[in-house]
Amino acid sequence: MITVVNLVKRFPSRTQDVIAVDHLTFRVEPGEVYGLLGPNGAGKTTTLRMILGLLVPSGGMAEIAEYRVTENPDEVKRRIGYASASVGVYPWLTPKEMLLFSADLYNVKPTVANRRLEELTDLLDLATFIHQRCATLSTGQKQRVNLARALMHDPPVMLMDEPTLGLDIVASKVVFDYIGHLREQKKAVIVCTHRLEEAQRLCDRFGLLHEGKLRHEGSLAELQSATGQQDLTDMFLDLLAQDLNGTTGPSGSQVGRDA
Amino acid sequence: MLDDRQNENSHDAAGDYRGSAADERIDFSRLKRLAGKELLEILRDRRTIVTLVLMPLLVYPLLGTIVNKFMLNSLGNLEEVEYFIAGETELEAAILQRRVTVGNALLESESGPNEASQESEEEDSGSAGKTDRKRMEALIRGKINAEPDFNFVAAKDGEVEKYVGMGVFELGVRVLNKDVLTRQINDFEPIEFELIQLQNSPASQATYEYVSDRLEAFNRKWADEVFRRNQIQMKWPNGTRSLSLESDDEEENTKPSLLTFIPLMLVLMTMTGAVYPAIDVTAGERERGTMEILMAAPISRMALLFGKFVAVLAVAMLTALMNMVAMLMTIYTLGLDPLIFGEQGLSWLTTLTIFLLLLVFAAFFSAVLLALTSFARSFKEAQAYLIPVMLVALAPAVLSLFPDIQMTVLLALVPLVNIILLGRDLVAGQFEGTLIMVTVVSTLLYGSLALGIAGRIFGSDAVLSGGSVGWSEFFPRRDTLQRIPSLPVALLLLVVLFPAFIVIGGLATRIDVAIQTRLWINAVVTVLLFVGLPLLFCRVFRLRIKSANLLFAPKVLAVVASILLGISAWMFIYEIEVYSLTTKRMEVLKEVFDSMKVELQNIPLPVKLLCLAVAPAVCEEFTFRGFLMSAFRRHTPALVAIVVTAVLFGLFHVFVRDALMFERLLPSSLMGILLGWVCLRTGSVIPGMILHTIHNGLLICLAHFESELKSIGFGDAEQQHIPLLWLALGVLPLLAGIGLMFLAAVRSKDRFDGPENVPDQASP
Repeated sequence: MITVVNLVKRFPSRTQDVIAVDHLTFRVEPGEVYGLLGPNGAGKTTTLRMILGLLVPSGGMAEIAEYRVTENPDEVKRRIGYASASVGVYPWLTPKEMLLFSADLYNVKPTVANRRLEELTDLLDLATFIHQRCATLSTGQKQRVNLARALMHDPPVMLMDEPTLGLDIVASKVVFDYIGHLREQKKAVIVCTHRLEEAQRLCDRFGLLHEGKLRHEGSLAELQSATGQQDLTDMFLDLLAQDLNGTTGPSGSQVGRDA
Repeated sequence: MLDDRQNENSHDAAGDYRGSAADERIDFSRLKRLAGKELLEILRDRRTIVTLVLMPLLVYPLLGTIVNKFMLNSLGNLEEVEYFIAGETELEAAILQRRVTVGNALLESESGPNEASQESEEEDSGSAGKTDRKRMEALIRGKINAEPDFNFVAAKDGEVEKYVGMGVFELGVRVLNKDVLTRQINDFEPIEFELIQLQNSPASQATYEYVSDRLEAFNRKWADEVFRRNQIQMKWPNGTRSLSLESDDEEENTKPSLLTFIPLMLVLMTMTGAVYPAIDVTAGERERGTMEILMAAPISRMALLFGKFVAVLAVAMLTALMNMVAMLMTIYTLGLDPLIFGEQGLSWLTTLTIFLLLLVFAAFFSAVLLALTSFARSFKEAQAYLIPVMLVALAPAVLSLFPDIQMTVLLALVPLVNIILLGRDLVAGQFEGTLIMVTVVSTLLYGSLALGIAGRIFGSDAVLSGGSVGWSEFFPRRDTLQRIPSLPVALLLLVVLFPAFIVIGGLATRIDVAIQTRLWINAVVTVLLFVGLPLLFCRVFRLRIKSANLLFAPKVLAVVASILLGISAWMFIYEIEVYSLTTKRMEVLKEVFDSMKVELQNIPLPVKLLCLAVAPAVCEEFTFRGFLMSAFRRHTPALVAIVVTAVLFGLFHVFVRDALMFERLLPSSLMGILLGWVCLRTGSVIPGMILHTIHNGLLICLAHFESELKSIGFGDAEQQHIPLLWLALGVLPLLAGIGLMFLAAVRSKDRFDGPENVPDQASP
């Protein structure tokens, strides 16, 4: 469903080009939750933005359902849902208005949109505040609206960028359930996060991203056998230590403008 | 992967998405919903309501009251002015005062009670408010010369000249035959007054005139009395009577006019109304973090921006409407209407016209605002961009307040100034159709360009990644040539072409040369504007000349079809024109064309054909069906591209020399539609050039050989319609031409679609 091959993003700079994503290759199948993991500035958001068509790759390609991002950006966007903790809401609109607006952006017919709205209201328990102005909602409520928004056009692919950032345990639980729902619905999901213990519980496969490069990839069992470490946090600490010691050789790339 | 496809199919079949083909077309109900969402968001914001409703409700009554008070005060000030007339002694001053008073009484009885006393009478009888209004009216029109008080005093130590010289007194007086001062005198005792005034002092001059006029009146009365007593029938050799007329020439117009304030005020308030929403819908998206939602959606930035544009425009127009209502209400309540609008008042039609003018301006300004605020990443930044723009906008606006600035074609091309001047002229009831047309067309063109730029900038790649957007966005890199111009570039071409066409076209007609030379000059101008400019744009914007102007070799069939259409289409277009005209207008046009025919009679046919048929046909096609069509076709559906280029084509034909011929809009636009259709069918500009040349050439030949044709029985000068036989014969080539055009069609996808920035490998 999602195919990324040799994806590169280079940001020009006066002294030396900054390589934010360095020849990234991975695939995500329907019904699979892929964790793109890494510390801040590893290139996670940049990768997502390239898949979304918001950034033009400097090299390589990304495909969604055999549509190339650079050639058929609209076909790609139509098939992607995007949820992020940093994405805002329209303070003067109600969640209902905002969700219907989002449906319009994806050219969903109004009748279909209304049906989806009902389904998502049930799924994410929006009914209590669906007619309130978004400005009056709590952070958790806003995030629920955003999760609903990403599903309004029922996309086969979901990209999630730090979906639990700034959320408490209860609100995070909503996100976890949501991801479970996506898996049931056979969506291909990429979750970017630096909360490794969370990812370990949520994802089927993992890509450990560091300084723009994919350092390890596979299921938890595969990673464990490859690295000899039991959990993701230890694997990352190993990676960082290796870089400090220079054993694997630093890639020479610098941290990109990953927010 | 198989699974993927199945999944895809199930989605498409379920109707959750519509196919990509649907996206190519403009979905108006979706645009309406997008605009509706923006408008809802803006209107729910209290800050908008403040500018929208409260501002006008507060500003105008306040402003009106200030104007009112200010005028009354200035009137009061005039009345309070005191002038001093000083005698060398108290007695001398008293004698002069006595005689001036008598003279004043005599003057008043001669000319009837003056207006100042009329005012005071009314003040006694009428209500105070009404008198205020009358006074102010009179003041504005300069009807009353409010008279200062004249005080008669004695100069200290008799030093009249010293104090007048110092400006302490306006006038000094000295009795020369001092002997009269020592005895009892009556009113008719001859006295020699010496009046001492200060040079170059208007006050001194006015006092001198005041005194001498009254002394003269006294003298006249005395002479009359002497003659009457001696029973002499007497007539003055130089009897005068004054008759003052209200001036109706420019003198009136050179006074600073309150009229200009109205459009200026409305324009400024419309501007303020649009500022906040424009920032909110662009920079605000980024600040709220909602920009990514928009950019991640499969919707064109232009569609998004269009929704925002409609919303900003709607708020700007609501502001304009509120302001107009509040302003007019204030004017009428305070009774300022006769001062401002004159005796006839303000008609509904004028009000509506001004409102439409504001709509045009608001469209332009909203687009400019969106272009600017799209650059900004935050509210703060947007405001920082807008402040200098508002200041820059204020300069021409204030300039237009100068009453001696007359609306000209050149000024009609300057944004903002044109609207304010036109608004002023509209309120005053004096305007010219051409100037309105130039103003509206140029303003709309500038607005579309700004909107195009905004669509290009809004949410662009660089902005999302936090970089800055520069003008490089519009200039592709040196090493690539683009195939087809983008919409903003095409709009920029129009923005340059339209004023150039008006100005240079106007200049060319003013050159006083022989008619044949003028034809050549016109041909050269046509080539420069309609071929030179697109070529220049191709160079500046790195466009491949062949594909950007659709200069592809046509199929032989297409050439044959265009010849057939060329010899037949004109008859039907002409007939449509004839039916759309009134008889009266027809006569006017006939006169114009007859005079042109006479002018052109002696020009050799080849020169006429070259200058009036080939040059305009080829050059106009180059611009309209070449450069503009390729750009519009890439971004809009075929029908929209054809109609837009055709209407633009029609509009350019409305301007004939320095006049407007709206009759040409319909036939020229119809011709434009035919030519546009041919262009899209054949994927080339060349068949259209052939069609257009034959069309023009035939009309010129018909005019040239009119007498010959008449002698063999074709045509009649009085006949308006084309003979039925011709039309019947014309149907055949027309249908054949249209039929062949279908056969000659190329796949337009190859010519007009295609990725935006693919470098053209074939070109160097």
